[in-house]
Amino acid sequence: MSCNGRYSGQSRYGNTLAPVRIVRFINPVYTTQFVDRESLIDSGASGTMIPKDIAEKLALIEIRKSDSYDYEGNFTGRKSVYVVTVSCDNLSHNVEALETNGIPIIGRDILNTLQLTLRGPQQRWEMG
Amino acid sequence: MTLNDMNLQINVRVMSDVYIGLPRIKSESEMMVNPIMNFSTTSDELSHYTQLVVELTSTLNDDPLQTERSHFESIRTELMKDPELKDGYVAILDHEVIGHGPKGAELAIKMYKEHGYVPILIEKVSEDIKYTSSPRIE
Repeated sequence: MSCNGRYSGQSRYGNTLAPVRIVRFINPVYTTQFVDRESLIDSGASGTMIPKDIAEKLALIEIRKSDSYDYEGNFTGRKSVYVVTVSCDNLSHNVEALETNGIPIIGRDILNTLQLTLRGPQQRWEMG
Repeated sequence: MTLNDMNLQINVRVMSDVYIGLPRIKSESEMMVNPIMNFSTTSDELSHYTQLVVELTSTLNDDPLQTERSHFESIRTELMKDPELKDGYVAILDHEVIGHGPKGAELAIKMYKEHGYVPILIEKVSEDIKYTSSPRIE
């Protein structure tokens, strides 16, 4: 079981190439409802994050609110947390996802359960 | 007889631990209002408190988990003393702990299967969970 992807140089990921992948976000109860969206593979993020429009399209129900901090520890807001199923090829995880104003992020809650290999020179990555 | 003459004694039950939607400063428990407000009232005061109840109701409708969250804050310390619950997750619905487990997402899905896809508070029995994200260099 594995999932692989490419690197993107799009400006929304910053000014360096970044590992990305179109990931499927699925309502954990009504599993026929899903959204496919390019997401950043980000070992610097403590958890998975999704923008509000994905939560709305999937009609996700908030399970709580949590505080969000930037990498320097500055408080950036109190946001909704949802439960969502994240699917990539034949990998699937039920996770808590924090609402973000930015791009979808696959964080360490998922990455820590897998072996992740970054092949920078080839601009490819695999996990499984 | 006017309301003024009646000097009404009103007990407003504010649904247990509801707090008014103020900016979060330190903790939700610090902003809880007294569950029972007892007061004598004139017609002006009655109007004022009626408006207060309307505002509280509106706040509740905007955030269906608010009362559950306040309830959790009031029992968090007690829950943390239970070795079976500490550092795990609890599910709260209608002011009752309806389930617990080691993983929040799995607990939520289990609760949705048992109680329907309705707002259920899933909280970790520990300090607040903090999310951090990476910097982006633009």
